[in-house]
Amino acid sequence: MVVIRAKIIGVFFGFITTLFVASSVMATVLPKDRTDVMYHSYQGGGMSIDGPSILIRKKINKKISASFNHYVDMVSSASIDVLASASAYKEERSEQSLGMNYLQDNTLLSLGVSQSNENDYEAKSFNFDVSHEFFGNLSTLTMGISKGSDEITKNGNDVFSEQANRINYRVGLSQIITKNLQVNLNVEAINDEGYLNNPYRSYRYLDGNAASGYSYATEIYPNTRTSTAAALKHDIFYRTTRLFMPVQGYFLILGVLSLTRIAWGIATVFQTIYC
Amino acid sequence: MNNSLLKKSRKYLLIAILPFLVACQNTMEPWVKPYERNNLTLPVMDWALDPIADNYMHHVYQAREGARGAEGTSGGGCGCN
Repeated sequence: MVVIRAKIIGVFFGFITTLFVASSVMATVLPKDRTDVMYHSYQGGGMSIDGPSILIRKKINKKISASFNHYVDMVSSASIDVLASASAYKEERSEQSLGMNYLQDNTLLSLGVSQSNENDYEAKSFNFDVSHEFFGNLSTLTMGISKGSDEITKNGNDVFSEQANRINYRVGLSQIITKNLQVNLNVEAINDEGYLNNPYRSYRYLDGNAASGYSYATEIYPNTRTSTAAALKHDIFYRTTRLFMPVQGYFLILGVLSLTRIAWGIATVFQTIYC
Repeated sequence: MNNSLLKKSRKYLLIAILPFLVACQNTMEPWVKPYERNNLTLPVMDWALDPIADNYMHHVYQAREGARGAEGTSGGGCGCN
């Protein structure tokens, strides 16, 4: 009797779960509410970069959600430039991003602005993305554009001021292949124009006119760079086993031993430069 | 000689028109039903499972390796000189 009751309750919960899952996958949804805090740390190439990052995302109503991200890079560097000619330095970069998502049926519109500040570099950008689900919500097509404008200055040189502009075009397709497998293909073209050099990077050459016998000069970089990147990824859902514990005739799920997403991808970057 | 040529032609003709025959049937339907997608809707299968950690890794790849684009997220200018 107890076993039958457990089965009936199990079927009931299974039915409710199926209804919930079916309703949630039958339509495009807004990104989930979340609050993330992260502290990152990187050491390599004579550089040490660390700092916090905070993300807050909240639904305003059934159709609109907003997000805010604050990110900080605290840099302490003695990189190859320092070994060559520059001096060791410490600086801080902070980035703020604000995003809005608007849901209309199976279409999700995303608009975002961001700005990044450090003592010798300011970057501002905006992005607009459209995502649309079709073919029974098995396929998702995404298209987007980003436009950025950078202002480059140089510490120790008040006269130096340069501009760089960036524009990104991207398109992506996600496809559900089986009930445990989905693939994603993204292609993005990026165009940079303006001052793409590192203002602190220079080379040393022999100079008979200099008292020391050598001088420094800034490297000459192209003013335009176009790159195209493609990435193919897939996700496979893989679950090994569940842990059960019988409690008064019911089976209580203690947890899932291994709930794993197996993911790998191939990314290729094509880059062309024009002088 | 003519017969073998005719057989080959038929085979290639069949291969050539097969996609059109399939397209004309117009019977392609979504093959994974909504009630079969519970595994795909789990948070672990979200493409952007950890958004700020993903953004950080993209930032590192861009700044350290010059690998940028096709990350599946919107990117813009970043002050990384």
